[in-house]
Amino acid sequence: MRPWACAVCVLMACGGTHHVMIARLSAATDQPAPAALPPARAPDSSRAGELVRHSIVGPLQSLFRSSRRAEAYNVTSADDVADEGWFVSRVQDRMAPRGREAPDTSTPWTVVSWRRVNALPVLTIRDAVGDEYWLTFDAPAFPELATTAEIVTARLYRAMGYHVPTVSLLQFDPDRQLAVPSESLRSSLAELRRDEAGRLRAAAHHLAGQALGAFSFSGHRDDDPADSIPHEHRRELRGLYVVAAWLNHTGLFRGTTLDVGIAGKTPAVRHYLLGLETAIDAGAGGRPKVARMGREATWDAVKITRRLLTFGFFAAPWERHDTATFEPGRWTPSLPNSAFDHRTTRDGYWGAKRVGGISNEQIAAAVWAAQPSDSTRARELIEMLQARRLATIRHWYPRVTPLDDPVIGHAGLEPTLAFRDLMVAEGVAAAGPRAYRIRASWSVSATERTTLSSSGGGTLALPVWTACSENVLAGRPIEQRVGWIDIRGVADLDVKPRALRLFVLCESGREYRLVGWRY
Amino acid sequence: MFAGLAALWLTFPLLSPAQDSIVVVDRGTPAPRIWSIVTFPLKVLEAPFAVAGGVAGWLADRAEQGRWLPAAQRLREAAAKRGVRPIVGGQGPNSGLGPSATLGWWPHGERARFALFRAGLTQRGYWLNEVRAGTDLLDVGVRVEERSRDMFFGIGNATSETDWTDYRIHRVSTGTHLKVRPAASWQLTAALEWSRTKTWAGTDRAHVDIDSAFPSAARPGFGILYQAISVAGGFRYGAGAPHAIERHGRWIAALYRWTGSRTNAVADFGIWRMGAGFELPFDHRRRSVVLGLSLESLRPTSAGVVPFYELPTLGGPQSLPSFRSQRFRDRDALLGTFEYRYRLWSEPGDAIWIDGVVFTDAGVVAPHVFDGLTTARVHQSTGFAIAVLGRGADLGRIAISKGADGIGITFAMSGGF
Repeated sequence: MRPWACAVCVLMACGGTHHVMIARLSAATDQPAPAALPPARAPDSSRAGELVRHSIVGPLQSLFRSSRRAEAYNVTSADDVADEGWFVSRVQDRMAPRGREAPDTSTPWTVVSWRRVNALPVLTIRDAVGDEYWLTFDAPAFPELATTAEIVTARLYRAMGYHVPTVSLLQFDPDRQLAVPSESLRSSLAELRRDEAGRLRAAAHHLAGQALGAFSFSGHRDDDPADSIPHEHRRELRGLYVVAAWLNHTGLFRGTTLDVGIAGKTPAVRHYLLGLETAIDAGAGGRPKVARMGREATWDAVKITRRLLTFGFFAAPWERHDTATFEPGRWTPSLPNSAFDHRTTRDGYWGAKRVGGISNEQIAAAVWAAQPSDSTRARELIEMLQARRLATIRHWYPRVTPLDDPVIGHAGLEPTLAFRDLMVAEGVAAAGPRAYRIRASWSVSATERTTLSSSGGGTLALPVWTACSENVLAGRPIEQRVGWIDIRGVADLDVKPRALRLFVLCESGREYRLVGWRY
Repeated sequence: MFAGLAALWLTFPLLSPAQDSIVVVDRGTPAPRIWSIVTFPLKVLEAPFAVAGGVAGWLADRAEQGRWLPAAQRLREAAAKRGVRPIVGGQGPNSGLGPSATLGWWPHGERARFALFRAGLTQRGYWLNEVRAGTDLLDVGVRVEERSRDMFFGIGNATSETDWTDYRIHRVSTGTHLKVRPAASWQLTAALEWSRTKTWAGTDRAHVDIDSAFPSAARPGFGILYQAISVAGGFRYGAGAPHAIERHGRWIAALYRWTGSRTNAVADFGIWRMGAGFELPFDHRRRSVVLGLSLESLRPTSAGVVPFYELPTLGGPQSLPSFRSQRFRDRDALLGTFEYRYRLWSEPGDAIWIDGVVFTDAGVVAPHVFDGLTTARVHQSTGFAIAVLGRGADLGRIAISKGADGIGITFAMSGGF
């Protein structure tokens, strides 16, 4: 069994205890599969099937499960996620995709296939280089809506570390660029809106690798030995709820995902998110979203029953206020999602950190990459994404004690903790004096105060571990030399934050060092 | 799956208590207190809730997944080149479940020229064939149909639940329709039709046939081969969008049809059909009230009998749903409807939605309805329904309601063959 799988098993076995797993972050960008790529399977976009699975089968299964939500399995000692085929923590700006973005326009493209999706044509073309792209278009009544949503969302997803196709803006003359289109395709394209030069606006999508079929947000692929963790227990898929809520990606479900096999020396599977045309303010078919989207699922049996039994006197808030505000904790995708349903506060905070890691400049760059012709709408879009980002942070950060980059040091003989409080760093709380309740596994609770800088930086005195400093623990097994320290922010907030738990190991040098933490 | 659907189609009467009771209960036996009517007057040209519609949805799902896309696309493209577009779906009124197929040149061009052939069949033996061609202004058609086992209750209010028996109608007709829209809210119609109709008793051994069940005075026109020519004209005014997601609008319509008999001893007669109503929304258009009133009145214009199946009727899913179809029959029929509707669910694009409906219908039939309002018995039906709506109409409705005949469970779909 691979070391990371062992680590996961250990973590699963000690969930909820004070044991600690010490693991290193993987530097790999793709989780190497132990064998050849799994076989390709047919795509599955059946919304009806998804509704049945989650509306009938899911509730029945839940009768036999504990109502307590278990934490995600694949977390590291820093309460983070290791880089693999699902997610890559991107330290540099990853908005710029690798390789060529747009098809070569020097020669006409070959139309490999085309179909209609929600009344709009989707073309698969092959350019002179031999690369295949699929092109999507805007609805004639709503120019630039869907393509803008796709381009902006793809760049932001990529910046946050998720795998999405490269999406680029394309403006082309179909009469010149498409080689031998069929009569039905020609008439279908004729229904689309063209600019003054007779060009169509499209979003060109490209994926390198072999399509292996959709992945589900629950269970795992039986035919992929590397896919051993149930997807509903994956941190990056649970945390995706927060990211998708920010981007209002309501159409995210099994049918809008894709596993892609990357051949080579170490074959790997990457898990892609699709269906970006239903993000931000765009809905299916290139139409604008209606008030209900993001606030109520396509089929919500509980709400329907309430309306039925109250003869219509029960109404969801969005039904009486068309301009309902964004509530990050109550956002609802159109179709049920098992991973989202299993999310915990820690998963939510992890996702919020991905959102918080996106700067205003990155948001603006993503929007302008779509080359919107209406600068007013572009600015509104930027402001909307910034406001939703702030709302996301304000919702999730206060639910934990968001101390980032914790480092244990010493001030004389006193152990100290240097950290950066993201509440201050993100502007949710003001800089200045701040109190924290500290309790260790070997001491009683005490309140410590520090003054936070404008970037949230601060230092706290930690309790002395007498047994460790007096060398009493020397020679004992490692399990008996591990302790924990809980730190909880004291603030006048609506919600009581979860404590940050630091796991420390008593070294033979009579000091303890930080070996891990969880929010 | 196809085998399952076929089995459901063939056994549907056995699965429905009401259909079962119709088959086995001898005349004179007290009627069951809970029964149902299965009526499927579905718009065949847009039949999303038919059994075949379900199959089509399944196919579409498959096509969306890309599995059958190349073959489906090739087929569609090949058909489109010839202007032919096949559609499968639909059922027949008062006759149970069954598919219909429509094939031909669908409306296209500036004048929406079309030529369509339709054929349908239900598991209860109702079948139809029709050829229709024309434009959005004028069309002509030929239609052949057989309606089996319609219920016959006799004339007036005197008939009771135990008086029913069944009969069949065989009808051949040809005609032309003219439709003019002088303004967006107005539609004027005119029609000319020749028809030949024949009735005969049901063949079910469990039932006494209509000849012996009723005296000839109570079953006028039964058993004769009746030929007639009809001329009709009318208008419809509709404002707003009643029965649509906007829930707001009003309508008024009137039609006069004069039928000249080509059969001895059968009278010429004229029928007035009038209706008006409105839908008023409130609570952010989540809820609404609907009020409607309709009147149908037949007056002979020469001596002779009037075939009973031409008389105005009340009863069935469209009027007084706690009573069986055509439960009350006389020269005049007046119906009032009140509904409180509230939205339960809507498709994200608001193309289809589901309403909860609390309704009460009150109706009366009489030789002269306004004279008889004080003396004739007013029949009431009050209940609750779940309605599926879309494209400005009820697509389907399942209702449970209570009236003098007991509790009825009805399932109906709008439009019809």
